[in-house]
Amino acid sequence: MMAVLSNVADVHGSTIAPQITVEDIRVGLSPEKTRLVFDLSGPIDYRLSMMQNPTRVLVELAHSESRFDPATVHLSGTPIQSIYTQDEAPDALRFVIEVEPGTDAHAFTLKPFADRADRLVLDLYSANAIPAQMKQTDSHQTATLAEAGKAAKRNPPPPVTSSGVAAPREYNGEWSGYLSFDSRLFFESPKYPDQKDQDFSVAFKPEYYVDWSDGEQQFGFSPFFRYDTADDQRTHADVRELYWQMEHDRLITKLGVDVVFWGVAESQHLVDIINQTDLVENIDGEEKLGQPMINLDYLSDWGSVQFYVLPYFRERTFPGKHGRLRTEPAVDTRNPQYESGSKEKHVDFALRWSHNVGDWDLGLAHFTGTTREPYLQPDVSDGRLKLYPFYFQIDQTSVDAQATKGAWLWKLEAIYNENNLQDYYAYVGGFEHTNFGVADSPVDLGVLLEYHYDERGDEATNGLQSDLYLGLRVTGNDLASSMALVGFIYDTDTHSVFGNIEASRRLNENWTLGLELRFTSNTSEEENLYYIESDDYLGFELRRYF
Amino acid sequence: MTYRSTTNAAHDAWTFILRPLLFAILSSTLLHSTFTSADASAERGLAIATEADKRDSGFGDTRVDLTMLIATSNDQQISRDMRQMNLEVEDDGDKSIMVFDRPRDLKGTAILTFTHRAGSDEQWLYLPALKRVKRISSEDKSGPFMGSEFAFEDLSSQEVEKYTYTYLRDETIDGEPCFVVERVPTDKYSGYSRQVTWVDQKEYRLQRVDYYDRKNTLLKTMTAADYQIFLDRYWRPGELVMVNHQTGKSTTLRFRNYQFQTGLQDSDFTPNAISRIR
Repeated sequence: MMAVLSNVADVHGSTIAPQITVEDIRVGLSPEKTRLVFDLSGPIDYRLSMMQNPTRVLVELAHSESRFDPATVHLSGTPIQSIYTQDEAPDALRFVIEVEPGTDAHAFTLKPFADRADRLVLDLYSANAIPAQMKQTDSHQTATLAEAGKAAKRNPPPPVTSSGVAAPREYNGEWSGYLSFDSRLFFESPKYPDQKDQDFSVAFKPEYYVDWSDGEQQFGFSPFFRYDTADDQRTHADVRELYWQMEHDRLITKLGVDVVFWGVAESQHLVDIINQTDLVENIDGEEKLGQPMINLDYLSDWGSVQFYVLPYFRERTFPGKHGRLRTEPAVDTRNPQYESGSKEKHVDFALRWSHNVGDWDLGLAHFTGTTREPYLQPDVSDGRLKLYPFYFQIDQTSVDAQATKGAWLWKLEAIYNENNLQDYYAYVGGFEHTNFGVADSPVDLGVLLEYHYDERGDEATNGLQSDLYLGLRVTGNDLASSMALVGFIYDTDTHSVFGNIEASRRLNENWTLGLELRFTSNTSEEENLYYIESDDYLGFELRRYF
Repeated sequence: MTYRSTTNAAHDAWTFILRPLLFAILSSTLLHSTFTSADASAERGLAIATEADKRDSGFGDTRVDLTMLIATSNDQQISRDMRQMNLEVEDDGDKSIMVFDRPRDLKGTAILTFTHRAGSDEQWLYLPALKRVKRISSEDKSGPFMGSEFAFEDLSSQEVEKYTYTYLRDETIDGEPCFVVERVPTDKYSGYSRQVTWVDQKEYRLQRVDYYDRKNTLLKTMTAADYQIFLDRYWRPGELVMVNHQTGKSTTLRFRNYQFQTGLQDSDFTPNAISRIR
């Protein structure tokens, strides 16, 4: 009957909700609790709160009316002193239940079952009746007061003011992270003076995370440290995360430092722009520096909208003169050049919309501010060649899309970048196709193909002006989570090849081993790859997680 | 909020009382017609699956902690700790999130799944090291989950529409009278040709499943134990044991701290939301 009514209301676009009646209140007593069952004529939105002096439990029911006098409820032998109703709003009903001080209340709803209609169950625990841990072992799990409050907030009943809501606070702080022992062995002698044949380094990344207010507020902290024996520029520290975040209904607010990833492609992260690349960590550009931000994230029915205010700019890290995988001369990071007079204090903004519709995952974004990818500006004013990073102002609009069609993932990222030097567009697109369980084994085999284009041609800062990427991904699906990715980037203009093999597996519960083999072939003088033509290497990464 | 409509009730009456009755009459009068009795077995198998599904409907959302104990060949046990959140979706498959806690190198890794009654499921993976949410193919049904004896499809939401059914017989296992129902996956990417299920007649709980591989050889047996009732209505197992008959290996999945109706909602089950779970 209710269903028919509500359907009619929906059809006519009316917002009139069905009126629910409270048919009866039944009282049950057990050694551990007093249970009140409200028999209802239909499903209900409710809010549970508590008030002190005297101690009262308030149960607010939306769109409800009472069919009977609560004074008739038999209360002798219970810790309840009285039950009465208050008409707070024209459409809402408030039950006030006077109880002993220290009483805790839990509530949940039950849907119709067998001959029972909708019910609201309220359990009252006396302060001295039962130890707290016994409640948790109660097989009839109940929503805690805070959870009930959260549920009520998400389906808010008519506003009823109350004070002294007793929300239990729970802190779940936890440390985790890793310690990593890394080494890179270079096959050839250094191309430039001062460079070393190998390096050994140690990295440490602890993470602390805590949430409270029933998980609605979060705090995260994750510093990063690396000590490198060869390159003093690679010895560095950073704050990857240091933020406070609050989830309120569909709005998430974040203040502080964090890392944000955008995009779908595998061989280049073209649209990913919030964070600066920590280039000394890895030339693949996947390691990022923490970015200070104010971030608002709103989840609507038509997608997620993210707004970022980025008040402080992070400079890219570059290897020092003793490091491999660098330009000649090494980039002079002590003298960064900026287009904007506010330099690193320029405030950047970004807006992104993302949504998934069926097989499609879509993202549309705009960024206005300081480029993350600098031009390297030569300077010979004092007789010696120097390279300064030049950070100019950009307006970048981007789109990213993935269509997931069975075992085929079709991917596209594209940007249009407006600036005072040279406007340009660039894109990367392709597919990943996976054969699951090759030859009746648990192993998955994926083939990746991506094409890169950059309108700047030779001037493209990442050298991916017309390049083809071919990759092969092997996933073991074994206990050790073994995986390997073999990839080649072929430059269709210069015919140079950059090869990259990554493999990893878990050694035991706490240790993992990663391998990285990188090499160049057929490089020509006019491309950036030429700088690192002698820097083919095999990297080891032994990590202890805690 | 959802309501049961009168038309549904009429439909239920047809499905659970009138139709089986009609088929019972038909099959007894046409006892020699194997064609009709096959139909009746299919009807009865579907009715049992539908009843089991109906009895579990209305749970809203759940949270549960899982420990997976994987017995390796050298008599060692490796454990994996996870948390799962489920959201009941009206008129479609459920949404679920699996978050890994241990081993530590996977900590924070999360998988979001939208199960669909018709068509392929949707799946996203969150990789905490890159802070990246990645849409992944949901065709990987038969692959082992974390190197265990459980396949992805064994752990996904068991929607009625994902199989066709045949009632086989009644049989008592561990003192529990059961319906034995065979089910054949409708998904062509399933790793199984068929599954034989034991559902107890009293509460319609899945007690045992025999899995047959694509060559129709018995591959695995899963048994459920330590069922507990929640909210006076919803039964959940405390333990699932999967034994692989072809390799002799086994995996035990233990469930702790079931919580029902915790206030989870649609907005907690989005690709963006899994990047915030810790």
